[in-house]
Amino acid sequence: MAPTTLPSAALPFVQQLRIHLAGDIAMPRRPAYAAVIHDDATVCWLDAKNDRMMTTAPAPIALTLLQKLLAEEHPALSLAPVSQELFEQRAIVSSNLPLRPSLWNIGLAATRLDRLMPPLQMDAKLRLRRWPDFRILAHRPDHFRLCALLIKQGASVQACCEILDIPQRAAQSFFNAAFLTAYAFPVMGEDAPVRPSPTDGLVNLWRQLRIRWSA
Amino acid sequence: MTVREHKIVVMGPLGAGKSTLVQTLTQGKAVVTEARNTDPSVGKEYTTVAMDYGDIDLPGGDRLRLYGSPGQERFSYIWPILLAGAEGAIVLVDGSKCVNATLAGQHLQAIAEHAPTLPVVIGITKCGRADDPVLPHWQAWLGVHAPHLPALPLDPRDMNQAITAMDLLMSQIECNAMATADE
Repeated sequence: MAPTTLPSAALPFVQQLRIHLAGDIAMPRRPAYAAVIHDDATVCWLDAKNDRMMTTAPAPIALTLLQKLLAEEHPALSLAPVSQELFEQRAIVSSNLPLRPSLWNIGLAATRLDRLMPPLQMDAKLRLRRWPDFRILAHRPDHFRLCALLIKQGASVQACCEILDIPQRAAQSFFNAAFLTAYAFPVMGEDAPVRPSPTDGLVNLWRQLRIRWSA
Repeated sequence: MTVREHKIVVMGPLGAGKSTLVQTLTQGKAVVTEARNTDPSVGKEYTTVAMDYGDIDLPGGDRLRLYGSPGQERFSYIWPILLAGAEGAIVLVDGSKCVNATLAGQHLQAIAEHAPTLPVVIGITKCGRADDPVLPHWQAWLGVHAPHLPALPLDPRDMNQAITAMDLLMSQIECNAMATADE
């Protein structure tokens, strides 16, 4: 049986999750533990304090389910914050995963080309609260560039694509992942300057060198 | 054709891995200035007393010059000299040290004073595997000393990790240049 949900359950799941993840920084007295519920059953348990996600089914099954549901306009998911005591009593674990990297990957994979993850609209501008955990970014140079831009200013998907010359899908999936994990927050009225970096500058020479080294 | 030179500085306290990082990126061709270490708190026989230097040939004939600073505070007068004209810096922090004992804050302070707009990446060394998270006490330290800088676990002996740190620095340089152009 799923734990009883608290009043924040009235919010859409993505917002509930963002509040929960931001809680360990901005609102340290909020419960760090929660259950993710679908169809009255617990899909996984979240421990934001220790950055753990414990799935009740084997990880590939639970992650695929979350990814599928989060790609829908109104995900049939809810979040139930629980006390540490209840968490320790009832958390049944099949797989133990790092929380934010797992959610990040779900956010990346839940991308649909025609829209961002609700409630984000396609013209939404996001800004990063802080640099994401490098377990997430280690092998994604495009994400480094998006982070470096969005830590400085808010920008939309379209602005990111124009400034950094990256595919729309890459920017969209980054937006979904950064929003879902609460690393990014929406901003209003900040327009990014659209200016490509100089082709003969150090950055482009370094990238050419990288291509040469990897050939 | 004008050959241009680009300068990156590697900073950080004694024993954090600066010389190693410069050697790794230049594939062992860096020039080092080492003398016998007289600081018993650091478990290394030799240490850099002036600077490390290595360069990398860039496409089009440009050169990327890498400078490793001496880590000890008594050589801090060299830090602004090395920072002059730099396009970016990697600051290494020895993650095996007690967080209260690290002198990495001095290096960040020197950058803040002498090159406040310089793009910077922080590498936490000696702290486990690259896919391990940055430890909570170091995250807290970073939150105080470098809240808006990217920090990654880094083994300076590993070329792939060294390149990742450089990729990250290049992203910082790129977006700094855009922001500067917009002002």
